Amino acid sequence: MQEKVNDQIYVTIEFSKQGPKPQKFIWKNKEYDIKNINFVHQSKEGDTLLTHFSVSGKTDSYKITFNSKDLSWKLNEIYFT
Amino acid sequence: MEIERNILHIDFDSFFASVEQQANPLLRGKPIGVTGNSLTKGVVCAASIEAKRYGVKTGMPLFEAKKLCPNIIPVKGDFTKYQYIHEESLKIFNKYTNLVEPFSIDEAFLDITNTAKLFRSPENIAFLIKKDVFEHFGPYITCSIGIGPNKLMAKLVSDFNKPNGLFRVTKNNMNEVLKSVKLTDFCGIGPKINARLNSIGILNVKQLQDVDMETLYKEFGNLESRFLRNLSFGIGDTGIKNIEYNPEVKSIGHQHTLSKNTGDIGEIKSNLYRLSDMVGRRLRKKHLMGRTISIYLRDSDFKGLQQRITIKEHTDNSWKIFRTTTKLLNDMKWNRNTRLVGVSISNLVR
Repeated sequence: MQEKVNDQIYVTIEFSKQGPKPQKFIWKNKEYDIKNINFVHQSKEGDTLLTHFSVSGKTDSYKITFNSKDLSWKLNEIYFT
Repeated sequence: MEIERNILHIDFDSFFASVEQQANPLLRGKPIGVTGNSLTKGVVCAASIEAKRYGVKTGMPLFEAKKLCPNIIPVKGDFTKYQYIHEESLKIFNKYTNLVEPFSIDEAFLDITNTAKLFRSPENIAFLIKKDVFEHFGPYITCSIGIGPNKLMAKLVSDFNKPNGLFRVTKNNMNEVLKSVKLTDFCGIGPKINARLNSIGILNVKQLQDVDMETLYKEFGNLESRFLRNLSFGIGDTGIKNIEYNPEVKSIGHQHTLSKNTGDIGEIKSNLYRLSDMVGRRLRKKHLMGRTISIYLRDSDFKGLQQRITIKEHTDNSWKIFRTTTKLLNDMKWNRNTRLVGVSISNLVR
């Protein structure tokens, strides 16, 4: 199942040589661990660069996006079984 | 003596579906069909390898795909991902040659005639590209590569050994390859041309090689008959349109579908004003100016009319664009019920 969301989230990041790696995020006061980063891509909205991370936790998958203009994070999509 | 060229045709396997499976592990190993905006109707833009096993094909209506594969999972396509991979893969290909021609969002031709030796062999370049794709995008996104003396043969053999395949056709195995394929396997022979070939008794490549040119000429005319005869011997175009990745825009335009049909010229003009302003803003933001200004109007029967004019000097001025579009509107003597209004500008300079 796929659910569209567009909520602001708070993300813990690890900065490594390969680039920033989201570790966990907080959504609606609940913490979600990120086990795998499956795919990373970028797009532009006007002059704003968006970096999209397709990630997965223990059971579910998520798409989260970093907005490089206002430095905010959003949870865009949840996929669950 | 003419050098035998080495052309690569790179084709991403089940592209949209593989990208979705890479991004979401819950979809891996399952039959999925990537759709447009709707998960319930429309067509399957791409089927995963698992769905293809049930006979699901690209372009098939979703309801038909569900009949063949009841467990198919419709997934909304995310075109920003596909565009990103397209652009990044062109950067990868440019590492191996500057002669890269994108053929579609998931296909490209590379001319590696002059660079193959730098990387030992054409096959080695193919392996290196596959390795780069794996490391860049992940294990679920794979490509099949055909190597041939021209684009026609490279494209033909990239379909051999799919997915994640590699095949090279040379002078030595050319005849075997040509014997093993159907006419419709060639890019350029669709169902209609195939039916016309069948109607003059040509059912396979050998018969196309042997048929006298006059028969072919009578059915297809000069250009097409020569193309078909050459194709039957594996002779094709080697020219790579050297389109290095260049996101330069050629035109800027906006259009708006009205909430209801209107015959009110004032309402059309107010839309032209808004659209001209949007076009002007984008020009100024990109530091561009244009000379050819077009308007496009579509009526309630979906019949469209476009009018354009090239002005004396380049402009990025919204007001000037609007004034030109209203002049075009007056010249068109448009008196139909209008559904859609569009404004664009081309002939751009920086």
